[in-house]
Amino acid sequence: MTSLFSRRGFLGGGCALCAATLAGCQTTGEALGRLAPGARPVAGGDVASLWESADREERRVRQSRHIIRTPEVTSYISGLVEQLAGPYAKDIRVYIVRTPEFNAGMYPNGMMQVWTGLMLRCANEAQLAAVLGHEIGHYIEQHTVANFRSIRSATDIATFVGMGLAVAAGPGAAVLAQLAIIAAAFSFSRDQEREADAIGLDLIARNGYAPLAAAQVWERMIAERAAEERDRARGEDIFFATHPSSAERAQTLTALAGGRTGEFHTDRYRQALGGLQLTLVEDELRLRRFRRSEWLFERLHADGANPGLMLFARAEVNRLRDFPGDQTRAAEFYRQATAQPGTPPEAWRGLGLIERKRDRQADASAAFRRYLDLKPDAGDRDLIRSYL
Amino acid sequence: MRRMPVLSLALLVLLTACAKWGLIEPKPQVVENRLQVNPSIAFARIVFPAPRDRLQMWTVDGPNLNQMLVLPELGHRMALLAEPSGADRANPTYPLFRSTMAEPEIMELIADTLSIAFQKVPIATTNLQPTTFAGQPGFRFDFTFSSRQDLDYRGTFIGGVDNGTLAGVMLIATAIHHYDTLRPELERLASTARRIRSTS
Repeated sequence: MTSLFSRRGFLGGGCALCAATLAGCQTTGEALGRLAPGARPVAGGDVASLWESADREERRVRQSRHIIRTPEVTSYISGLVEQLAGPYAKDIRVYIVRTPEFNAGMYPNGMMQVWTGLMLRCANEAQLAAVLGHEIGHYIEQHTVANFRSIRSATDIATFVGMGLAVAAGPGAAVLAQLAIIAAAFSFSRDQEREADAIGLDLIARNGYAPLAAAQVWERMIAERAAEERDRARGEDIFFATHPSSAERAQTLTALAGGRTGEFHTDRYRQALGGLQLTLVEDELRLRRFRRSEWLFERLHADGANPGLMLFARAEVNRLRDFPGDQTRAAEFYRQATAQPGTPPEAWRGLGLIERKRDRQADASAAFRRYLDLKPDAGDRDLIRSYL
Repeated sequence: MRRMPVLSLALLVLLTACAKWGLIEPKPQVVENRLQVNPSIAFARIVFPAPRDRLQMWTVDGPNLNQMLVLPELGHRMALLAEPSGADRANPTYPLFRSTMAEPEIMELIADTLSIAFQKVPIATTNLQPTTFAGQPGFRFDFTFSSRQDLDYRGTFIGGVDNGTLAGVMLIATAIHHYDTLRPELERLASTARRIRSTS
């Protein structure tokens, strides 16, 4: 469907297609060995076209409105990658993509994408560094290039098959077949993922981070996934469709970490995210995946991350879900949030909405007034005023 | 589970092929026997096969450029968009309307529905204001977003809750041209809207 109003998730289907295809077409590219720092493919060589495709995609991404450009945040993440990548630092460029899902990606030309959902879920700098190190591992081991080479012959066959499909079922089928081929080049086998995990762990350990942070990333994802299990009919779990199981990774990484210790840099991480944290929370809430959001915000709250913001987030989950008992819980979280520093003005708005629904007009009006005092240019100010 | 997105896309290709187009003439139109509006220009109506959304989609230049969406009636615990086939009813993809929702919450519901439908893009809402819709107190708000392909869109919803059900009209169009062109028609549809009561 080319509809603007893509109710069946047309565009999402495009992305998801890649993920699903990855699952079905995982390659077992032969190891090429480590890339030399600063290396580029030979012009006209077999992988030059792959890099050119990635370069084209990077030009598009660079201009995208969905890239986070907050200077403090971008320089912080780029600095982390530079520190981890060492001699490869000049070859890697980082783009923070505003997408509320746990993911990061590495292109063969050195473009790294970090999704904001990943940043929200990391409890500290060490956890984020573990994921970034993992992506650097894919790059320096040339996993994409290896996959590309392994499917080149398959590509020729598939192109032929695509032509056949076009004749038999129309050009749409051929496009699907070609998309599947492209997706396969960017898929990683489970062995490649394990190799990247080991490299990531090595990189964080060498940079003074606690190696255990790598396992903790996956332990948290296991718990979040368990919380969300009943939300999974949506088939959107792109990341896990193509990676080794989180439990396996957590166990392996814990073993690899051994007894080594290091820094987590929790406060530095939260400080670096700064005002972006509210955006990350709001984007997660907008998905209305209440079970996972509830688990996530509860965990981040328990971690001590920005208590005012996390209490606000927990209140919002309850208000938006509106199951029996949720209004009472929401009101309590809002009240706790508004007593904390770092709480967004919207906490007062949420409290007002809940109290109004509970026929507590005086409390509702007081909350709305406070909201309008704190945010006089709010986009809903005219209607909120009509409640007073 | 892993194959599901491919099936969805394949289904989508089929849906596009199966969609029917109809003509909306510039004269009073009764939508789903629940809402009457009076367009001054002709639209093409796009009808997708089941499952059917609650919103009726009209367009002048094609749905990628502009959509006039007419919501004849949305009842308690119903979503604006139909669930994909096979979805878990206990965990709906799109947020559900509740008859007890306040106007800011309905704005959130509409914005979040659009966000989910448009690949999780952020939707910025503004200008939420009281207004009159179909002779009853209603509300309106504006919104903007960029698609994942970086095309900028603007939109406006005008509607209201009456007798526990939501009705309204909504324009989504490219910010660069189509929104301004079709905004007067949205206002016309809203000003001519009349809800039709069930006789049962």
